[in-house]
This record gives sequence, C-alpha cells and structure tokens, in this order.
Amino acid sequence: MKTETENRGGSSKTKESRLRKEGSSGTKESQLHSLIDVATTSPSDSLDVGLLTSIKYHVRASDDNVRLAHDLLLAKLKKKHSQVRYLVVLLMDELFMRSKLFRTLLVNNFDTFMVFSVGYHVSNPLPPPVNRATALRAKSMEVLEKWNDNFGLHYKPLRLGYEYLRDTLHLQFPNLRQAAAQAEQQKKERELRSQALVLEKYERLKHDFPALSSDIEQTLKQLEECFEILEAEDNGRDASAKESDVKDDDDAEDYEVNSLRRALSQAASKAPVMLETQDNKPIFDTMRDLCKLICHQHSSAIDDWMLVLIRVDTQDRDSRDFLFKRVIDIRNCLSQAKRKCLNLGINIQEHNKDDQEDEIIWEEGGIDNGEASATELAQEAETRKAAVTSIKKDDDLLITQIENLPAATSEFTSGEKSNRSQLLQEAPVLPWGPYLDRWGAEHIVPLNQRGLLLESHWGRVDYDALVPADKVVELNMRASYYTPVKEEIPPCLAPLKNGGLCQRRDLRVCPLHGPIKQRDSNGNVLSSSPDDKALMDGPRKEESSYAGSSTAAVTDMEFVKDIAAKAVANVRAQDATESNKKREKKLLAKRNREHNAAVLREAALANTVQGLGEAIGEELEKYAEPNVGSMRQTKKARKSLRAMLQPKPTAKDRLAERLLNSRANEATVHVLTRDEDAAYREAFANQW
Amino acid sequence: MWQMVGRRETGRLPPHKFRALLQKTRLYSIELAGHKEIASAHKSGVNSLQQIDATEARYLLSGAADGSVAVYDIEQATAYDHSTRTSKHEALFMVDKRVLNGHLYSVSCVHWYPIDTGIFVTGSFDNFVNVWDTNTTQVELQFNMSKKVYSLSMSTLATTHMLIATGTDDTRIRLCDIASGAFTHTLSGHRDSVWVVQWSTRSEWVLVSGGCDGAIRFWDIRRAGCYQILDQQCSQIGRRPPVLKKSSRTHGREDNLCTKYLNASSPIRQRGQKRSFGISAVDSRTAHYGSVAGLQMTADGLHMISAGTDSRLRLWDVESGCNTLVNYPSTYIRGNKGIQMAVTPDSSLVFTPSLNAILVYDVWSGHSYSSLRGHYDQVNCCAFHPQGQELYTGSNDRKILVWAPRRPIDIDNFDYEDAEQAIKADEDAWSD
Repeated sequence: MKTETENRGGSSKTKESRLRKEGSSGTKESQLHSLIDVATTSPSDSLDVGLLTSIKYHVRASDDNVRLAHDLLLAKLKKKHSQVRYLVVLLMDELFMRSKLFRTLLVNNFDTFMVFSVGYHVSNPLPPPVNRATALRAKSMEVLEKWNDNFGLHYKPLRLGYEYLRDTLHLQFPNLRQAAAQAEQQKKERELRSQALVLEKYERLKHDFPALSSDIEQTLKQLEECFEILEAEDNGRDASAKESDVKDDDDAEDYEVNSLRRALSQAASKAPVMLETQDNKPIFDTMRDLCKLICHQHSSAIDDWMLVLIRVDTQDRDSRDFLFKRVIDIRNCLSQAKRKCLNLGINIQEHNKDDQEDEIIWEEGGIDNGEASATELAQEAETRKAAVTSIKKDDDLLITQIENLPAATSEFTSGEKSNRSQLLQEAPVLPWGPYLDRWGAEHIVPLNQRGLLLESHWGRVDYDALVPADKVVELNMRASYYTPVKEEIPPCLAPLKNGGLCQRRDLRVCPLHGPIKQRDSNGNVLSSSPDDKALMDGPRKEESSYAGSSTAAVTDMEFVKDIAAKAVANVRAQDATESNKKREKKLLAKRNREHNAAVLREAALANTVQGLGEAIGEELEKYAEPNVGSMRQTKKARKSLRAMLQPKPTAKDRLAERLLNSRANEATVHVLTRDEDAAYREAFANQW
Repeated sequence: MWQMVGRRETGRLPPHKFRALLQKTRLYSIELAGHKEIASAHKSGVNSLQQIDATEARYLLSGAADGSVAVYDIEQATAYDHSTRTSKHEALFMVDKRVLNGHLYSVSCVHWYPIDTGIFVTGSFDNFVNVWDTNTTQVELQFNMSKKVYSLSMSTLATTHMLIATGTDDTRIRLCDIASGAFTHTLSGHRDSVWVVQWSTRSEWVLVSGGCDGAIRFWDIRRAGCYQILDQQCSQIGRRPPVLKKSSRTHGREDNLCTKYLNASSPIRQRGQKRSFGISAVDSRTAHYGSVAGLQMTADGLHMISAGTDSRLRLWDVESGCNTLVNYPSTYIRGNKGIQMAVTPDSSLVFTPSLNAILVYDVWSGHSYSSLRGHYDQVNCCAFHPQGQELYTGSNDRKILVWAPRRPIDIDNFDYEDAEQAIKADEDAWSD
C-alpha cells in the first residue's frame, strides 16, 4: 500500500512498469521494495552490507527491477529526512557504478537528483536534521565528482550538472582526484629534496672520510695499547702477537683494520678478567674515556654514515660500496672494542653514576630502606629505654610493647633478624601526635609568659617558672579515637522478577524480602547453611539434655512438633523448587524462540540472495523477509529517525522552562514589589 | 528510411513529401547533441538567442544578463575534443560593457539585421537599443528608450521600411528607424509594459505585441491605433462571446462587437461610453489571464502561438482573431521578462521553455512529445535552426545547449578502438 501512495506522484513510467509486473513477479517486487525500505531507514552512517548484497542481487536479476529500483529510490530521495536521503544516495552510488541502465535512467532526470541530494535550489533546501544534511551534501558532491570522473564522457547531462555546480554555483567539490595527484607530487618532491640532502651528506662524507676514520683508528689504537699494558701487567701474554701488532701499524689502512680486528679478537679470547687496582687506575680511567668516546661519538657517527650510505642513490656505485665496506669494518671493530671494555668491567653508566655520587651524597641511602629505618627505630628505643618505664598512664598494650623493646634490641644486636621483623610486625602503629615529642621525658619544662620554653631558644630563661612533670605528662596524654570496625553488610540477594538479585543491604530484615538468609548465586536459600543448622540444633541439644530428666511423653511431643515443622519446610522447599523450574523453563522457551527467529531471519536474507525462497515455499516467506522478520528492527530505526528530527532540549531550554513560566514570573514580581514596598515604608515611616 | 528512399526512387513519393517526412522523423528524435557543444562566453544567464541570419543561417547571436553579446559560428567548429568526440564552437567575438556605448545591464533581446549579418541590434535593461556593426564590433547607433527594453523585432519581409519595433517597460511601442536614427511611430494602447513585439510573417505592415496587461494587439503601422485585440473567450467566427449581465447593463449596443470580428481589418471604434473603471469592453479583452510572455507566428503567418504567465499556450487564428482552443498541457513560465519560443518551419512542432526544461508540443493537436532536459536553471529562450533541425537553447545556468537529431555514425572516420574502449567503460559492472 505504501508503495502506491509513494509513487502516486511519480512518473507514468513507474505505474506502467508496476502494472506490467503486477501479474508476473509481484512478490519479487514487494521484496525489493521492502529491502530498499529497510535499507534506507536506519540511523547508521553506512548501508547494511547484507541488505546491500541482496538488493544488488535483486536489481541485477532483470531490467525491470533496475527500473523499479530507480523509481523507488527517486521516491525515497524526495523524503523530507536527510538521513533517508543520505542512505539513498549511497545506494544509488552502488547501483550507478554497476548498472548501465540505472545510469541512463538516473541521468534522464538528473536535475531532480541534484536538487534533492545537493540541495542547491533555494526552493528545495535540504530537510532536517542539520548535521545529516551537511553530510548528505558532502557525500553527494563526492559521489557526483566520482561519477563525472568515471562516466562524464558518456553522459552529457551528468557533465553539464557537474559543470553547473562547479562553475555557475561555485560549489567546492572535494576534488579527490586532484588532491591525490597533488599528494603524490608533494611526496615526490619531498623525496627528491631528501635525496639531494643525502647526496650532499654523502659527498661530505666522502671528503671527510679519511680524516674521520684515522681519528677512530687512533682511538682504537690507544684502547689497544691500554689493553696491551694491562695484559703486560698480567704477563699472561706472548710476545709474538705484540710484535705482529707493531708491525701491522705501518701497513695499508685496509689491512691494518683487519689485523686490528684479529688482534682484538685474540685479546678478547685470551684476556683474563682483570680487576681495577690502585696501580692501574689511570689506565682504566683512560680506557673509560676512550670507551665513552666510542659509545657516544663514534658509534653514532658510524650509524649516521651507514644511514647516508644506505639511502644515497648515486651513479658512482663502486666508491659507495667501497666506503660501505670500510664503514662496516670500522663498526665491527668498534663494537668489538666496546665488548672487550665491557668484559673488563668498564661500565660507562656506572662511571657516570660515580661522578654524580661526588656531588650528591644523599642519593646513596634510600629513605625507604626497611633495614635502615629499623635500625634507627631500635637506636631510638635504646636511648629511651630508661624513660619508658616511667610512663604508666598509657594503654596496657603499649606498655607491654615497650617492655618488650629492650629484649628486642638485645636480640637485634645479637643479629637475629627474623625475630626482629616478627616484633616489628607485632608493634602497634600509632598515629602521630604531639605526645610523641616528649615521649617518656620526665624533666620539668621551663615556662615564660609566651608559653612553654623549648630547647634551643636564645631568649632569657626564668628558672622559677616551671611546669611540673606530672602536669607535662598530663598534657602529653595520648588521645585515641574510636573507629568502628568496618564490616560489609551482605546484600539480600533475593531473586527479582526481572531476573536479577536484590541488592539491598540490610542487617537483619530486608523490607521487601523478609529476613535475610544466606543464598547462593541464583538467589536460592541455602537451607543447610551453618546458621540454620545451629538454630535447628539448638532445641535438639536442649532436648537431649532434657531427655534424662523429664518424661518420654514430652520428648514425643517435641519430636512430633519437630517432624511437623520439618514437613512444612519440605513442602515449601518443594514448592519453591517447582516455581524455580517453571521460571527456568519459561526463560529457556523465550531464548529458544528468539534463537529461532534469528535463524529464520538469517535464512530469509540468505534466501533472498540465493533465490531459494520459491523452492521452499510461501511458508518461509510468511516469516521471512524484512516484512515480518525485521519489522521490529525497522520500527526501531524509524523511531530513531524520527528522534533525529526532534530538536534536543538544551540547557538553555531547560533553564527557560524553569525560569520563564508564569508561576516563577509571578513569584518574582511579588517578591520585588514586596521589597519595594518595604523599602518605601522604611524610608517614609512618618507617613504610616 | 531506406524504404522511403526506395519509394522516392520509384517516384511514388513526391520530393516535398519525402523531405517533410525525413524532417519529421529527424525532428521527433531530437535530443541533447553529443557531437556539438557551444562554449558559452557569457558570465551569466543567456537571455536571448537568434541564429537565423537570413543569408547563411550560420551565425548564432546570443545576449546575456551580464550585458554581453556574442556571436558563434554553428557550422564551423573552433575545436574538436577527441575524448568526448564533440566539436566545440567558441564565440567568434564578444562585446560587453567595455566597448564604447556597450550595454551596462542585462541584454534582453538581440536581432540580426534581416538582410545580412553586417548589422545586429540589441536591446537592454539599461534603456538603450544599440545598433552594432558586426565587422568593427562597435556601436553605430543608439536609441534611448528611457525605459527598460524588453523586446525588439525587425521585419524579415519588409521591403519598404526598416523599422525596429521595441517593447519597453513603457506602455507605448516605439518604432525606430535605422536610416534616420529617430522614432517614426509611437503606438499606444497597452495599459502595462510590453514584453513582446513581433512583426507579422505575412504582411510587412503588421506588428503584433503582447504585454503585461494580458492583451495581444495587432497594429497596422499605416494606420492609427490597433486594429485587433485578441480575446481568449472568442473562439468562433460570427459568434459573439458570452455577455456578462453587468456589462449588458452598462452597454446597450453590445451586438456591435460581432460585426467587428467579421470585419477584422477595420480599426476599433472607440466607444464614447466608458465603463465604470474607465476601460471600454473591447479594450479590456485579454488573451491570457497573466501577462503575455511569448509570441511566435508560424512561418506562413496564418497562426500565432502565445504563451502567458498563466502557464497556458494558446494558438490563435490570425485572420479571424479567434482562439482555436487547442489544449496544450500547461507549462511553467514565471519571471519578469518575456521568453522566446520556437516553431519549426513546417509549423508542426513548437518548443517552449518551461522552467528547466524545453517542452515540445504538436502545434495542431497540443500533444506533448517530450520534454528536453539538460539545463539546470530556468530556460529563457530557444532558437530553431531550420536546415539542420537543430534547436539552440539558452538558460540562466550560462549554457547554450544544442539539441539535435541523433546522428548516424560517421563510418568514414570511425575509430573502432576508441568506440570499443568507450563502450567498455560504460558497460555494466556487477561484481556480485
């Protein structure tokens, strides 16, 4: 029905095609219609992929379907909702890029399409919501440009429309193609520039290389000499290697590097671990410096060269390769030397740290060092040992602890760390207070008119004005506050109708679910909970104690009562379990139904794709299809579409609602007039 | 087609009929021309087009809203675009306000000198009618109309006079004489601005004008006053129009009207009796309920088609002044100036601008053939090229579009590879 109303205003062609197809493939047509309907009523930014494929499948089937889709989409495009139009444009784009017939159809009344998608005409502005409208315009311009790029040659109206928007209305197209070309160009330029820079660097490197390499070699040689000296000291070294080294110095550079490497490797393999002593300290210092030089300066320089050599693109390949080889050799030498230094225990970082140590002393001992603080505590305790005994008014616990202290210290001195740590664990943690200042101090305190005189003040001292010791102690009394033990009140956990559990936290009785019982995670009462057992056991114990003294009749009565109570409990429990079972069943059934519906929906969609619908029959179609299956979904989408159109209440609106209503107005006016009246009366009191 | 040629060969089809048939088939297949493109030189909407220069029917004259006038050669292309396989026709020259005495405001009407292409005449909203020399592209003569010029016309038949009829915002129509540079006639009768004037294609003395008051008046320039006012109510010869009670009360001698219709060439007798609002019954006849926006005489001058802002097209029998009551589907004509319609030389089809489209109607039955869509803004004018069956239309979107019958593929220089590529690029591309 809806189709009819929508297309009543459409072209006569629509009706013709509809009439033509009414007999043959009415169901297919309605399928396509409902598919398009669903695809274009969604609040999302993009088309649903599954729907799109099924629409494409349908449209592809025949030319009539293409015509139908075109008519339907044009009708949809005229809807007064930008979101719908946006989705229609997306869908049209998909079809336009694929079907030639669709292109010809759309191009025939291209101005309609442009008016409703770009919204360039004053009399036909884009409908609300505004943000979707801007998205729609941007998207349709993008799409137009793409179409023009691809098909502008074949469809003149398309080209004319594009030119009209661009040249006459001066709309800014995203110009994607040109932007891409520009980006490409820029990238190329950047590469060219960087290549030139690299080339320049390479030239400089080629020029400077002999000097730099000799510099590095000198460093390496010095380092080597240091090693030699150390080795000589250690006299675990054969003379032949040394000689060869000395010989090598005169040879060609290339050879020298190789020999250097060999020597280094030999040294590394042979060198025993040497320790730094007072005698060889200067040697170690120079080695440290050299190592630092290597690490910080030479290796980074070498890395730079490598980068330059890798990236440079020069005609002169031979020289580059030669340089490359040299650089790699040097790098290997450097790394070997470094490793050797490390093997000798020279650490640059450590060295640095030592330097720092000289300047900043306090960094050495961390404050939070447990042991250190413990020792300090112990020392303090020792000094106060004598005074401690005199404190009598503190808590018992404190006193016992303090009495324990001397023992603890003595133990500590004997070195039993475990005991001490145990004690530390036991020791109470007291909050800081002024009483700690004069912990156990017995002496009297001098006083002047300003207050208590504390140590290390430079003023006059009046030795007559004193505060007696007991007064001081009284002043120093420790105040402690009661803090209740925090205990988490367990939640009620009774099952609720919506499937959740009651989260009320009450001590004894939940106002909604009665006395609080222990329950499991499903909300079922744990009847065998220890509390209940205890309750049940209580009377029985009494009973047994009674048994000896009282008559058998009484016990019988008790027994009967007990049994009755048990029976009642049993019945109730059964009822409860039954109702639980029912509930579970219902839940299961519901879940099953949902699952079935989902499966059916999927099958239906797949069905539209593969054309199996006819094979299975009409029954499936009744359930399947967006007609029924995703009706709910469509409804939801419709709702959200409608919600898009409604303006959101802003803070301003809310404030206005509160402040500008008539009651508030009247109240304000009333207050103002009253105040004015009062002021007047006050000012001209004589008139009243 | 070949059947027709065969019949012509055997002589069963007379040559004029053959020609007419061929022209007709071509006409009905008219569409946006892919092979021809006019690169508009104007920076704003094209208001007026005229391409029928009497000598060669080759040069298209266009006037635009930015005061520029351009001339295009529609036979000889200036460039050829291989990618789209279209020939481009750029302006041979363009004159605008930079030329001495050029038009400052929108050019509303252009006209070739009927004898040759050495002169053309333009009228503009800056109150001037300019006579240009085509070869020097300078203004040779200026007529100050003291009101906006809406339309001008020169008679193609005239042998004894060379007058430019101008319709302006003023109620009077003036005839300007190129030879003397002065106004020879002032024709008063319209009660509002005159949007269209056109010389008759039958008599060199007869001028037709249509105005904002909805009246179409016929003038014979040899006599004083207008001799005929068309009445949309009058549709039969010898039958008087329905008489309103009110008017019959005021006028006793209404039956005199009829005699007037029979004696069409006699000038209207102005009655002494005035109606209550000061206009005589004859004077208050209207051809359209709105203003008359377009007038187009058929080539034989026996009929005339008028378009009004009441969205109607009317076909008039010129001789009797009757409304033929051909029912054309409604058009959409709005705006504050006239439009240009076009009629094919054999008087079979009429092209009418209607908003963004050009509507094609059969003149005699009123049947709508097609609507030519391609402009993206209001279409102002169309001009028909009789030899090539081509239609040229100008619109506010600054384009001049060419509409032509579909061209048979030119086999001589047909590039198969190109064509194949083009077809491949435009094929269906279903990936799934």
